[in-house]
Amino acid sequence: MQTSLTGRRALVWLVVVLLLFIGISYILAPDTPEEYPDFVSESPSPTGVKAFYTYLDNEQGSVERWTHAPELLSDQNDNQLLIMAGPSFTPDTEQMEAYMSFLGSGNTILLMKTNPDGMFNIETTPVQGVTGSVTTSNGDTYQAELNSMVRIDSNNHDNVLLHDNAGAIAVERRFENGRLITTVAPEWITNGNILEQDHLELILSLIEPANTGWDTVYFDEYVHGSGNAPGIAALYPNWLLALGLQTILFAVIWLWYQGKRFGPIHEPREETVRFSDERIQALAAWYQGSRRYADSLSIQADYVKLLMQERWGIRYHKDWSDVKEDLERKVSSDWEIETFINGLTHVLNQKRLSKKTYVSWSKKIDQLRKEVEEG
Amino acid sequence: MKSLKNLWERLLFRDRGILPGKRLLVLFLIFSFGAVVLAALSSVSWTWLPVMNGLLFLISLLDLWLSPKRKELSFKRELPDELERDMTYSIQIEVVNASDKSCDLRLIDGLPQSFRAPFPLTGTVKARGNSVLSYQVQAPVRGQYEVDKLFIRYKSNFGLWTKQLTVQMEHHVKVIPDLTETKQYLNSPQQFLLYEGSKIRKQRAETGEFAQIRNYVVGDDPRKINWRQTAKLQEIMTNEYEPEHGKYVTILIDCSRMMGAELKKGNRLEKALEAALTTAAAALKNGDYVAVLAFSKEIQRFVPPAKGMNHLQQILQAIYNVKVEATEANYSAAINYLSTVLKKRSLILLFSDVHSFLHEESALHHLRRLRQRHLFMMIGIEDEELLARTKQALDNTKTAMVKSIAQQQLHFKKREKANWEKQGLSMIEANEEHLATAAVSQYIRIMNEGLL
Repeated sequence: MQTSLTGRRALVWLVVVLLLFIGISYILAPDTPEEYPDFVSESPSPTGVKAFYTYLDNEQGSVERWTHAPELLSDQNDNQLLIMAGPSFTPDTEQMEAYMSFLGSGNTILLMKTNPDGMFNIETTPVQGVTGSVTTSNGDTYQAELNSMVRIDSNNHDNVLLHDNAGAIAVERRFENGRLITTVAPEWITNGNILEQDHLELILSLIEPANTGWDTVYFDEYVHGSGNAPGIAALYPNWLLALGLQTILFAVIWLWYQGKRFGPIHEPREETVRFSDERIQALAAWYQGSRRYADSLSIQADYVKLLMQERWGIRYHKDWSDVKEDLERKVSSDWEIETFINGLTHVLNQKRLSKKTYVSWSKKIDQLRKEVEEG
Repeated sequence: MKSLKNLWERLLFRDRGILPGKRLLVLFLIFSFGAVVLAALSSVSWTWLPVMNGLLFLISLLDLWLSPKRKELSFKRELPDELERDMTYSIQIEVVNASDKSCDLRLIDGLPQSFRAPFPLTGTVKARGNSVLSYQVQAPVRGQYEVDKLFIRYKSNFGLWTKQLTVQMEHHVKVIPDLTETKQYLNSPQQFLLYEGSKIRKQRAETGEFAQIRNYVVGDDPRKINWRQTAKLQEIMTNEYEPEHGKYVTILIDCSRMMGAELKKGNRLEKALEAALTTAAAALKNGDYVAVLAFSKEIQRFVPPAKGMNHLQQILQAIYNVKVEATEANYSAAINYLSTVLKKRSLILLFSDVHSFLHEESALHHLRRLRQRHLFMMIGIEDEELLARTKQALDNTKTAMVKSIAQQQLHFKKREKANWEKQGLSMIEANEEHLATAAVSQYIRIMNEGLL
């Protein structure tokens, strides 16, 4: 009871300290600059396009941000321009169709994307060796920064507006009454780059020549909103998604069914078993380690002598050489007592023995032991 | 840390809470299959699937809600206070169901880790009825234990969910030594001693006190015929004597390191305890005083001498919980202690490991002094491992070494034993199965021969 009370008190203190910490860090933390996504028309950061937006707003007046789904774009030919600067995702099929129908009714879209492959059926090819000089269809040359590693594949119907030695950089394509202008250089329009080199001229050359006055210019902000990107669900068929959801739910129930504890907690513990031969094993290891083979042999010989005294009445204190006759009477005939005893006395007198002699003599003595014990 | 652990357990509803049943899993699989097929064949909106899943669970929860409440079940455990080691006992759990629905139960009793029992236990309790579930338990390790929690799971009416609860019921259980041999002895001493039966009859003619007059049978000593009664009853009657009562027997139990060596069944200490209890029972039945001393490095338990069968219970309660210690035995301390507490001449039976006893040099000196007042006898368990090692086949240096060391130890033991016996200190080694028999027959022999 007391432990739970102190535990609760400790918990309260923990919460209080945590809150205090959060509060202090909130007050003390420096104001970090607001983060904007790239190519957003409200963004004053170097990656934003607020500069160009403000410029057009001042020049043209009717500039707006388009934050709704493309299905809501008007299908009327209102001489509108939609600038899609650096879309952060590729719209799905339905949205693409909505854009197409916006184009088809006579409006214009300026698509600026490093690799526009996959939008509006545009295809690109990867290239190398970019020079930085851009040529217009009129043959004028401009200097510009080019980060894109692809160029647009232009077909016969396309009107190449800008190109360099690697290929087409900006292409105009007709969709029924409307026009799609695609460029692989969205970096020209950003706040940080628009006044560098000849970027502004190039952008204006893309939107100005066809029409000097737009009724409305839209900056497409819908394609910058991360929430508008098609979810992962659009990739898979419905049944697979249903299967996935049901599998997850089933896994949860199954884990619950399997994993709920039932019964006491048994902590694993060490079991120790003591064997009665630990003493002889330790002694044997010590004898073996210090190579006391001669000692071991004399122990075995002594033991056999003891057995001989117990079984046959041959006196234990007699020397090996003296028991020859007694042995000859007792041991079966095929045993060569003479050589055995001579060899044994020789071996017992030696101080150092090889492993091999030790094992072979141990075996011989053991044979005699068997003879005494069993024979 | 502990409070965090408690919180985590609380979060997981440990030992409580609910869990899905097998039927719910099957039902959910069928439902999932249907939902997937439906999603494949027709385009359904995204809210539909979660709503259907939610509905399924809500309906299944209805089943849970209608099942018997936890409060309507009550449990009672019947557990003996003492369990003999390695014996099988039946434990009953009575379940009373106060609700109007029958319920299927599964139980796990919170037995100590060393106990062996087949769990989980299953059973059914009828509506407004009770039933008794029982299981068999074996406790292989002596000691005092606590059994408290009872873990229960029961199914809801349709088996979609399972409820879990834990009941706190405290029981204290003692696991005592195996008393089979003691009981056998008390039931029929003659039968028990059949193994060494000849010794019981060896009796010195003139010793003992008069017990009764009975019919003469062939083989009785004709010198003991009671002629007066024979003349009176016209039948040959003979006097029967029995050893004197009221002698003192002290049992020493060694709990040191080497007593932990494993035998075929249990370890040496277990066997020594069983033999000690049987000997104590035999002595108490004969009307002798019995004292028990358990020791290792220090004195562990001492039961002062007393007589009467009640004293056996006292001895049992004192020594049932002795454990093998990691230290070597201090024989001198035990002998010194004995010489201070024992006032009367007594038979001292020491249960110990012969090897460690022989290696103790100071013990001999103390024993010589002890022998002047008491009768000493040591009983050890034969080391079959050692005997087998002296005879094992050898094929390399290691086996040859082990063999020679075993022979050396055996040689040493034989020599020392002879040496001790020369000093009048008897020492016997018994087979592990016959330790109790050997101890009791030695006791009877000594009493019959009137050596005390």
